[in-house]
Amino acid sequence: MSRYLPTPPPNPPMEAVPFWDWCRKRELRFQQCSNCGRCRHHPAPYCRFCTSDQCQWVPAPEEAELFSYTVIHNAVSEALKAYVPYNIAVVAFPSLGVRLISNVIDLEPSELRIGMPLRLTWQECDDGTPLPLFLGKNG
Amino acid sequence: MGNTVNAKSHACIVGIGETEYTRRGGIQGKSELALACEAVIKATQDAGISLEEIDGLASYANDESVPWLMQEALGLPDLRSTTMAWGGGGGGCYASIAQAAAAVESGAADYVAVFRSLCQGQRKRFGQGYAVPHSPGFLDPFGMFAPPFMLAPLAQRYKYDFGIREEQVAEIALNARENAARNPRAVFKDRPLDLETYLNSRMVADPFRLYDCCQENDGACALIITTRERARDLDGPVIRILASGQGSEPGWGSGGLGSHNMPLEDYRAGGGSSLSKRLYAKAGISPDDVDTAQFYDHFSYFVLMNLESYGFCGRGEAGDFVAEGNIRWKGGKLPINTSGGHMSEAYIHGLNLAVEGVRQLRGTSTSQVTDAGLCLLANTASAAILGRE
Repeated sequence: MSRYLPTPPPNPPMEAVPFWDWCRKRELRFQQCSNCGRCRHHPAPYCRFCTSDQCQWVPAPEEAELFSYTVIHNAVSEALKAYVPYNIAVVAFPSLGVRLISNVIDLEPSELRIGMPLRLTWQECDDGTPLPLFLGKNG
Repeated sequence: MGNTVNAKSHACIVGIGETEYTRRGGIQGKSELALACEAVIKATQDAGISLEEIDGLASYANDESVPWLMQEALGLPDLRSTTMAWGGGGGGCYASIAQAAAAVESGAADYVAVFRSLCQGQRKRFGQGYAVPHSPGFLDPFGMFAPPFMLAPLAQRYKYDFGIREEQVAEIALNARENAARNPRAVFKDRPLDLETYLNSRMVADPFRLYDCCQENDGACALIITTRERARDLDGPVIRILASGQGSEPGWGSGGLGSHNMPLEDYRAGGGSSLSKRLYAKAGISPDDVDTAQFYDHFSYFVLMNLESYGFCGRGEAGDFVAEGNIRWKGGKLPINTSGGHMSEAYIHGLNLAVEGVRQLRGTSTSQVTDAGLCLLANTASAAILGRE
């Protein structure tokens, strides 16, 4: 499948580097506090619940759900004109208590439904980093 | 305890100043700095003070007319307080008023000019594809480039959970345009809008249609803030800042412009819920006392959420509230955005709404609310309650 969007590769701050390192192995992992066990996203140097700076990166399930979304009809650059309308999805992982901004790459705008099941997939961006994206069909 | 102390020390707004407002790129012959100066100069003239008396400057959203350039340009002899409510859109607008109030109440400055200046035809557009410092790397790769894209999912969830209908949301744009028709400063004064046109307008970022989004403009405005004691020595009308502040819910963080990881209750409320309680308590009033409100109408859905968060109706009830005509100038319980707001007057990132709030309490609005004594200025992250002296 061709790329969903011709967007720039991630340029992460220090805290988010491990997130993308895991993505390069096609593993979606979130930061989990080693002390209280709660997950957080986006990555941060301290746990906001218990202020621990110790963390590990735990795998996310392949199944997620559509928490909210928008469909973009307005291309902000020439490069995006051939890609509108495209969707931006807020993808929830209820078992971890975190959400991720992503795209649902196999559905038309009219097929998106809040609460629908989604399944993780990967697509490489310009610099070869695999982006965590989602499928809605048979999600 | 606080109320007695505050009643004595309330800061007041004693001057307002505005340049012309145009469409984005409409001002080419003057710089953004020149516009900022013009607004401050006009505000001092309105207040009846000399420019030399300005010893404090306050702004927000990383305004590029920085204090050291303003000091040189205006010849301020004793600039001793400069404050900036950090960026992330115009959410800090009314925080700049709070910081100015704190400066004069503490004695850090005597007269603070709060200003916002925009010349977007000459430089980057506010919010247009800006590098997102809030959530680096987690938005751009997925095509989330601009504020409408970032905030649309909050509105989508709100709309879904509470069954908000487009005919209801349309009231925000239609009310703004109707009020603008009476306002000679409004960029869309002569551009009437009807429901059919709204419903047929193109989708920008679902659920935001074209008319759910504010304008982009050039222009500047300013307020002069001082203590109540000094204000009473001036000739002009005195408008009290009964309460002002900023804040967000726990876990909000970078919020809609960033992580989208706040609790659902806050996600679909758009912020302001706890801030509003704090400010009403400080001012010693309730939402029922408010005569008119100016809401930060960057996107219509957030005005609905604000109406709920600031206590004018229950959660999820704003659709019905506006559909019943409650926000209209004619016959409305709570006329809002009486200058036309960001949607139809100009988008000076919240500060022109503060100028309109002052006009309402002076009795000089072009959509004057009869005997207006209390005005709320509010957005998702900051707010102020103004009262007539």
